[in-house]
This record gives sequence, C-alpha cells and structure tokens, in this order.
Amino acid sequence: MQVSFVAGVGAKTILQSVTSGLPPEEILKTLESYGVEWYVTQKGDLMIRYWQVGAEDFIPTERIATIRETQPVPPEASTLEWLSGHLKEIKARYNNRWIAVLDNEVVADAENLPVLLQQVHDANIKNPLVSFIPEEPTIWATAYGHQDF
Amino acid sequence: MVTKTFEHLIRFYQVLTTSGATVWLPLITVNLIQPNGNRVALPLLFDTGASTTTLRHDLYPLLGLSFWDAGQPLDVSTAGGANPVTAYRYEATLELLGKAIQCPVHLQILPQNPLYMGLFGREQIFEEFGFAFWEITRELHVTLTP
Repeated sequence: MQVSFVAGVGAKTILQSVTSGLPPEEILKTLESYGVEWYVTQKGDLMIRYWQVGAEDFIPTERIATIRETQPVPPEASTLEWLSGHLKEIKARYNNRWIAVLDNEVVADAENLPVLLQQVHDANIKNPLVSFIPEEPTIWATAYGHQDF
Repeated sequence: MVTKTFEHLIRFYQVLTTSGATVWLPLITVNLIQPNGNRVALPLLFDTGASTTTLRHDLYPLLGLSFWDAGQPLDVSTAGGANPVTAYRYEATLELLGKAIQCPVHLQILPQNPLYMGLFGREQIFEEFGFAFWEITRELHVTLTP
C-alpha cells in the first residue's frame, strides 16, 4: 500500500490509521468520525476530502464493489468517470448529438448546442457537463510531430 | 532540494478504445461561467503545449456569441501541422477547483473527442496554479497557491 497526500484536520491520525493494518472498513468509519468525506474508486484507491488519493490499492479487489455500493459517488469525481465508463453505450444512443450529463445520467440531448443549452435552462439543470458525441471513430493518440506534404 | 506542496490531485482518466487498448488521459473539468451567469462543466485535455486554452469552435454559444469566427483572428501552429490554422480569440471566465479566472480563450476547429472539448492551455491560467505532472502514477497534482 502506498500512501499519497493527506492534508487537513487529523491528517496525522488518518495516516496512522491507513498504515496501521486495520481493516479498510474500520478506517473508513474512522474517516467518517472525523467528518472526512471519502470515496473508493473502481480500482480500490481511497479518495478523501478534495478527492486526493489517500492510499493506493487501499481496498482488496474482491471487496471494492461491495464498499462502493455503500457510498454515493461524489459529483466532482463521478461525471467524467461515468461518461468515460459508459462511452460505448452513450455513443450508440447519442451519436452525433450534444449531451448534458449530471448525476451519472444524460439529462438532455440535442442536435446542436444552443438547443441543448435552452433545454438545460428550461429544466433548471445546474452545472451539467457538456459534451458532443462524434459520429466518426475517435482518434485517441496525439503526437507532436512534423508532417510533410 | 526543491520541495513544493500540492493540495489537490486529479487522476488521469482511463479509456478503453474500440481496439481494446487502454488510453490514459490527463483531463481537467473546468466550469465555464457563461455571460448569463450559468455554469457548464467542460472537460479539457491538460496541454502544456497549448499557449492558450483552446475550445472547440462550436462551443461559441457558451461565450454568448452568435458566430464562432467573430473575434480577433490569429494564426496558430498545431502539433503535426505544417501550415498554421486560424483561431479566434475571446475572453471567458473559467473556474477550476473553486478558483475563477477571466482569461483569453481561442476557438478553433479541433478534432472531435467525446471526453474533452478543448485544450487546457497556459496563458494566464497557469500563472494562477501550480501543476506537477506525474505520468508514472497517472496523476496531476495541483496547488492553488503557487
């Protein structure tokens, strides 16, 4: 287990807890007793407070799903994670459309951005993540190279 | 030895491509505060090679514009491109980790990607934050007080 950054109130105690060999569930309870928000990633890392990594590989793989089920995913961490994790389904459904995402769901979609913004405004949706789902296959790699013509 | 402290951690995002390969992207989600005060969250690719934050040209309604090419035109060079392309320069208010900054943004025709809507570039913004890029652990460390 590799401990990364832990900051703020009770940092020393939290560090001691994470490295103490206590079961993860006990440590999570300790965090809650300090009023520290926590979130366990799909990989099992523990995120705390500003969604810094509290400890890598904190949760054993077989217990990640169970622990994640008990804790809602915070909006700050979830929206893009959810979008990237559901890209295949979203691309199939919203090909060539603008989408607004909030709380792990597509809350509006439209053929162009002005229409989407109007829908968001009319539905009083606050601070959605906006994206466009391209029809063309996505090129993921970028490079800083010179291209001869 | 130089020691710097970073309060925030932004992890790279893992994407499984259609070919089955895994791609890790350093993405930053900023809030763009529209002229009417409404916020939208925009994922941007962290790009130290981008002189200025650059958004897809068709995001112009978020800046309160009627056309994307109504601003100050300027030639910009692109990675891998032999010839410069035209971008249009505007001002926008972006918010990252609760810190709002009025800064220049360029609108430019960019490759389409569902996970990012532009490039998070240096001009003005990088002076307001400190960044430490940690590729080996796929982390971007950020401080609001560089």
